[in-house]
Amino acid sequence: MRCHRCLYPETHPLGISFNQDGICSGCVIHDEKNEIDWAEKWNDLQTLVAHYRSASGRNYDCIVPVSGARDSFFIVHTVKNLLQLNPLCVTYNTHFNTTTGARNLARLRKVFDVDLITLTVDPHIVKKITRATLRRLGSVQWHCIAGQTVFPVQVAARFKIPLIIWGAHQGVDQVGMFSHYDEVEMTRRYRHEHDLMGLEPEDLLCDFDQLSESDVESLLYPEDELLAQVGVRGIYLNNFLRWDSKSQHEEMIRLFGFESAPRKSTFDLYRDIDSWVYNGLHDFFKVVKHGYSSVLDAATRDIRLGHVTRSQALGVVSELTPFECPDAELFLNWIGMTPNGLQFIADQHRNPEFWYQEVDGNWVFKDPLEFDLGSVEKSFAAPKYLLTRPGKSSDPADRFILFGRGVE
Amino acid sequence: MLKTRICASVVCLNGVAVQTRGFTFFQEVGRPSLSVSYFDRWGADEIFLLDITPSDHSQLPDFKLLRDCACQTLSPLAFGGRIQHVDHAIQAISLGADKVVINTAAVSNPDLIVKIANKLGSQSVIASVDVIAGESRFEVYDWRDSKSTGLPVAEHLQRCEALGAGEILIRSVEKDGSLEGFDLELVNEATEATSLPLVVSGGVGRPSNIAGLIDQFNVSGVCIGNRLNHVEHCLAVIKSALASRTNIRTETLAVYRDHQLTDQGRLLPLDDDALHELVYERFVKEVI
Repeated sequence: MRCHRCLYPETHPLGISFNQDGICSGCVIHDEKNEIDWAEKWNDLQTLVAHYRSASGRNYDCIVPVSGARDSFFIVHTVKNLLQLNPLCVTYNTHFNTTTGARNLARLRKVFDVDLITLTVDPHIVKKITRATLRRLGSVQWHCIAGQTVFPVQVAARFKIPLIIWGAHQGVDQVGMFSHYDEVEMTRRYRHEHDLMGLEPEDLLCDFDQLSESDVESLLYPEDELLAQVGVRGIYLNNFLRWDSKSQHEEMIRLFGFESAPRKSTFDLYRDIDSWVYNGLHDFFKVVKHGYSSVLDAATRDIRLGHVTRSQALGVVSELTPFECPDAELFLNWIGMTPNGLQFIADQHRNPEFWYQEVDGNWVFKDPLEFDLGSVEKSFAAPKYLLTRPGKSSDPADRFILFGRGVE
Repeated sequence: MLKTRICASVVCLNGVAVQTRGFTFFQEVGRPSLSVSYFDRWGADEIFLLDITPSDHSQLPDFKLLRDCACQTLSPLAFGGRIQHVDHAIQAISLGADKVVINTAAVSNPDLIVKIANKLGSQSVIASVDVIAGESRFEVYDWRDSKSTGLPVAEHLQRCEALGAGEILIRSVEKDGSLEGFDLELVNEATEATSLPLVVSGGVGRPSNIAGLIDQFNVSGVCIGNRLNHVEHCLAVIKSALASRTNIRTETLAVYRDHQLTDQGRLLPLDDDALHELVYERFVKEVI
């Protein structure tokens, strides 16, 4: 079944529940946003971070994980300008960087005047890890999530900066895994199951994939004793602010020149524009395994926030969801695979709940998102997203950028 | 003097660990085996694995769930859900549970407790009692029908004791998932009704809820549910807040020795100087 209000199915990988009216837990928790006294929550946040402000000024007040997209500008603006904290920004290099992402990351440093540390793992190792996660999990994104969720924790533990400030908790935002009132914080348990799909880096060690301990060293979570000694805590701004990613990005475009970019398989021109792989190949694998892709996530978000109606979103989702493997030449050259090889891997991970194989070997998607629209007139329209003019930089616009300048 | 047990509950619905609120709203959290593994790591003194998947009486307990979870923990494990026959209890113990939890069967088939206690010993049987406030008294709640059975709680507890149960797990339906603290009136009635070891569940939001309970009543343990999913090392943090006040087990990998907590039970940072001390390893210059 599918939620009657948004578009999430009961098969959502994070786990979802429905009430008697057919409304999903994500929508129920989203509705809390209308009841919560956000002024009081803002005060709570200020009280919380005040404890972490370095009295001596000898250390940073907090860590802010950033990238060239995904609410990074808004988070840094909130932390630095509104909460008046002195953050250390950290970023994990996904290797799949677009020139827009490189420019946004460079601009972030300049307009917010922040220090930034980057972790770039040896490309040879990243490729080995990605081959392993592609084989075992049908995931091209695994190393990105592993790095993005562990590097801030490693820096917090090593540099003794206990507070990490994240943007939105994905479980709360998508499926209402927790209530806003729970003020859920970062846990290794959540990362293990939901970010890393049940496989921590230690679990990837394997002769077949040629992965040894030293290969995954850079992605290992700090020991419990070290985290306890420092008192590392990761908080999520969406528990304290009325989170609206689309509006927040548009404010950042207006105030700080955040760049958006055109996308093939979604109407959201703001999120994940720093990655060649996220919208495209990753979306295709998501459809293979879970029967939907990030355009449905974007539609659900915008339905709940009132930027689009459900019937308007339906057609766009049907149109933009990638049911076939997109052109993945850049990725294939990077990882060293043939298109047939990639297709073979994808077919190993087809979820029989959504796909069946015909006699000639073709895979067919069972539910082509035919929703029962009833008497509602079909009016398909994507929510309006702003496309900014591309900036100028000396980075190439047609390939993965390992390390971009971001400026001319 | 026995230490007070700080236990974790992992409630499962259709094979998925869930948070529960008032027995009506469920939020899926993830794989039960991972929850069990992490709660063990964070210092649970005991783990209650409770399967609340509705079913008819012909269905067996979910032994696969038990098997997947039992191998993830070295802490004592209590397993409950659809245990209707003494053979189910024997099977559960042989798959790695240390105790079985009997809930609805304690009302509909009290002889089951007698049989299990005779076969495996009283220490292996926990009578789990869900309680709702009736018009003038606390009554036993039937979670399958979502209504009170009409049975007075005190009477039911005394019957369970007479039948041979080894301990009682008592939970307030109204407080379930509320994060507001325990129903102390209920605990009072329960401690007066029976001398069996009592584990109280339902409503933990902050360490002071537990401290308040232990200060007033001689309970054997407390069971924490939803809250454990909200914060890193939650059990270890809660135990660090309680360690000075009460006799509890503090052997865990993550020990929050020097940290203070807010009133809500959230971690506060060490002060600037203490953090700065951690940054560098100091070597005292040797002076000859």
